[in-house]
Amino acid sequence: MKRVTCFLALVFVATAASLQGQRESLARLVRQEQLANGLTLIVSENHVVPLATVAVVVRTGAFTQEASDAGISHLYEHMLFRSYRGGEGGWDQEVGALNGTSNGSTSAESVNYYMVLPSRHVGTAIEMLARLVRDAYFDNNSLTLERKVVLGEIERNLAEPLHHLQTEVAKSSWGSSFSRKDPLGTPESLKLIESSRLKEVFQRYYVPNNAALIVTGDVDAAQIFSLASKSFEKWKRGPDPFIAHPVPAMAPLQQTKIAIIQADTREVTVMLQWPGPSVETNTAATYSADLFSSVLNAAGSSFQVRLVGSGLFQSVSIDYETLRHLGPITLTGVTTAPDAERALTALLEEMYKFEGDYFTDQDLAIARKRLKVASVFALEQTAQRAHTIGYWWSVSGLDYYLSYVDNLGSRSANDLREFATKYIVDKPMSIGVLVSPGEAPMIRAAVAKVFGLTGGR
Amino acid sequence: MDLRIVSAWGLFAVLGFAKHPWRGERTGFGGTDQIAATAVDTATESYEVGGIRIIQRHNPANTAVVVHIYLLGGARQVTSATAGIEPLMLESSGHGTLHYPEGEALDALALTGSTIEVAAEMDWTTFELGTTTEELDSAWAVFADRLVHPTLDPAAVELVRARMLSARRLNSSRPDAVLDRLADSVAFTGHPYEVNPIGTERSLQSITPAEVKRYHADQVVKSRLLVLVVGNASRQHVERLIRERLAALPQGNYSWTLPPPVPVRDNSMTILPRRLPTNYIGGYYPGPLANSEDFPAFRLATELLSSMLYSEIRAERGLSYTAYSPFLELGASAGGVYASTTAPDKVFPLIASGMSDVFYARFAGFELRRFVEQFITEYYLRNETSAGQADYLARAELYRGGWRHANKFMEDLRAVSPADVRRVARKYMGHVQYVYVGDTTRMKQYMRQ
Repeated sequence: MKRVTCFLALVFVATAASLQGQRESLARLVRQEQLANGLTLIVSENHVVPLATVAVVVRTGAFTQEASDAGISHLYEHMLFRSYRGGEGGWDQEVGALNGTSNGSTSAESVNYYMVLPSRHVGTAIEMLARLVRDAYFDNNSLTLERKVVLGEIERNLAEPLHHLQTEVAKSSWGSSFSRKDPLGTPESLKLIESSRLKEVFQRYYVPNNAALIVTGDVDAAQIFSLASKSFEKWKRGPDPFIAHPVPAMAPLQQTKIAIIQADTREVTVMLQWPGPSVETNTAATYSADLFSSVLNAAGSSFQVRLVGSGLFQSVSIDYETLRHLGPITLTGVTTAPDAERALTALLEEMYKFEGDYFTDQDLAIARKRLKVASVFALEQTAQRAHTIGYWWSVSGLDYYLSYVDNLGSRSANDLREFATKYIVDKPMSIGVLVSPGEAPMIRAAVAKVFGLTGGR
Repeated sequence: MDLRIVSAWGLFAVLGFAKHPWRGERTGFGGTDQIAATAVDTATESYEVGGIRIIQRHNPANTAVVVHIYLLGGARQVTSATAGIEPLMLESSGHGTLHYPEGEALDALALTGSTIEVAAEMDWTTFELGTTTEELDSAWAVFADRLVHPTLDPAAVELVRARMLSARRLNSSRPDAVLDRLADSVAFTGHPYEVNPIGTERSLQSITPAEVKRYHADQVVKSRLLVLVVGNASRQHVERLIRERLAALPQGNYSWTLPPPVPVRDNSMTILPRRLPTNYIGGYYPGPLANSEDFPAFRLATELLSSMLYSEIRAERGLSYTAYSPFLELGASAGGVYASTTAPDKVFPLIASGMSDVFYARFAGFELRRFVEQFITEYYLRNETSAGQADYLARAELYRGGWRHANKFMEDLRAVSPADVRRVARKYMGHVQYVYVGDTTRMKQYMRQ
């Protein structure tokens, strides 16, 4: 019997060094090359288990969608799998023959197709993915069938009350640019998409100079580069899609907006959202945003103690989504109707304190320590690392990923204060509240009183 | 079929339980070659310290360390009136202990960057620490004090109770969570699992702080604990920490056993009318105990059914985004069916025909091996992380008679024949307690049949 030395393999080691110096550690683990056709190749070896994750990431997603195309980037993610080998439906069977699993994902600024399988089949997986993105075939029969599946996905979302809150807040935040933040689209927009339009948009973005192949796991980087070169060399370079079709700037939020969403719910869920920084034009602020979130979300932080520890909210959390085309800063809190006015008042008071000496050295020390421990656990997840690398490559570039922990560690309390002042305090925001019909009038009045506003949808 | 209609407004609040991931990820049909022969695990050892059983796997590949303490019993520890008391106790411990009063417990843990999670499941509750080699001593001090010396101040219990109740109320408007709770309540009638250890609104509202304290004094005993440690820590280090911090617990006289099998009943359909953008079909069929000879074949049969449901319902007809057969990996296992669809009258017959295909299918051994090898891929994926390895070892210890059986499961799967699969499918899959949440007018055609 074979001894289990794979669990003790030391080919990959994540050092528990200080946050400074993580870039060097990560850079040793990640190798990058580029083919003549512009395809980026990224490999990260980890020999703990005999698996490989192979992913193709394309720099597209919601942000490339016109209003009339809402949902198209997600629909052709579905269509690619169905269209494999000219629509004979062989993708699942071929993946299964390799003992693998596969899936895809579409987000605001990234589309990802991947397989996880025994590492000895990595060459076949690379060839399959090359064929998938290179030889796409869209026909109306497949479109009819897959549109039904995607509609099913949308219908599931529509059955969730929280989805309506998130959608209404996003619509308020982004206005006419909403389709560029909504990967799924709506049943109405989906029905209008024809296969000719799918093909046109696909040909625009699915070019090797707008894509990356990511391979992680029990592999040899040099071998992967060689295999990928052979499999992808026939994929023809295309025009830079963002020169011919530049993405218009997101319309800035000019004034605070309120939406009251009535649904079958027994709690009051409050969502506040602000347009946050762009990773392209204000990279430093994105690190501040993440550290800011980490500080406020820490269980023992004064923010949590005063808002949740007091019983005013059952939970409060803040999140920043790193994006090139403005990432939203979103605060979500759950309270009850009788507590809502006091809870919102306390929240607003807390937000005004962000401009002062709110962030302590201990806050930052805790946030950095949490990040350090989290990065150790993140490095265990080799399959997930392919998705993480792919996402960052698409949104911000690989160097952002490699330098992330180091840059986060260098933020100061003053940086967090500046971030809050620039993006949050007294800035226009979208306010959404999810509440039952019976309690909606009380909540509408409370929101108007606390934020000094009237109206609300 | 026995048809019962449950009024939506009479239903108690529900909670989506973490063990029911209604997933939509595609899986393939499997290949024929194998990853690796079964391996002997030389990285793991088990021992006892002061009456506490420990299983430890050494992993020096990085600096992660996880400690999972399993408080055994789960649903069998509670009644419908006390359900939720164990997670309430453990969560409340975060708000003060003997050595870290009030907020000091949160602060002390925060300074280590470590995490502590509580997860209540049908067979046990896990109290989980995620830390690093460097922070282990400091994090363990807080972690152990929370288990051994929680203050359980009434104000802390009330705060945590309010949060848990809020979570239940939020879930009562989520269709998947409603379906989950309905499916559990119907499938496990007359079995210990009919009491959900995460609690209901009613039980959580009625538990008093005094009862929580009494529960801690009576039930947190060494004989009810199983400690899993995976990561970069030596045995000597772990032994010292356990000896220093957990020795104060009383021994107790708890003895772990598997639960009884879930009773087999005729098929039934329970309907919860709701007007929703889509409709939700679910249901469970009881399976063998986790240590039964039938278990490996049952696991494969469920996986086969899952593949058929995905293929017939989603891939070929586009009738659902998510259609599959969930598997409950419990001491008393169960399989199930799940689909969300706007055409339930078309999907129900496909579920029935999918099962029939598994009962009677003529497929060759090599086709079955495809699924077995796919399990092995998933086995390695689960064992990528320290937490995954801890969970896998604990289930082998508690469900299969010893952690050393963990790797043997793959051998057992490979030994299953097509005839075994058909036999267990007919034995177990024919007794489904279906549940439906949605528009009943869309089911008329199927119900008339």
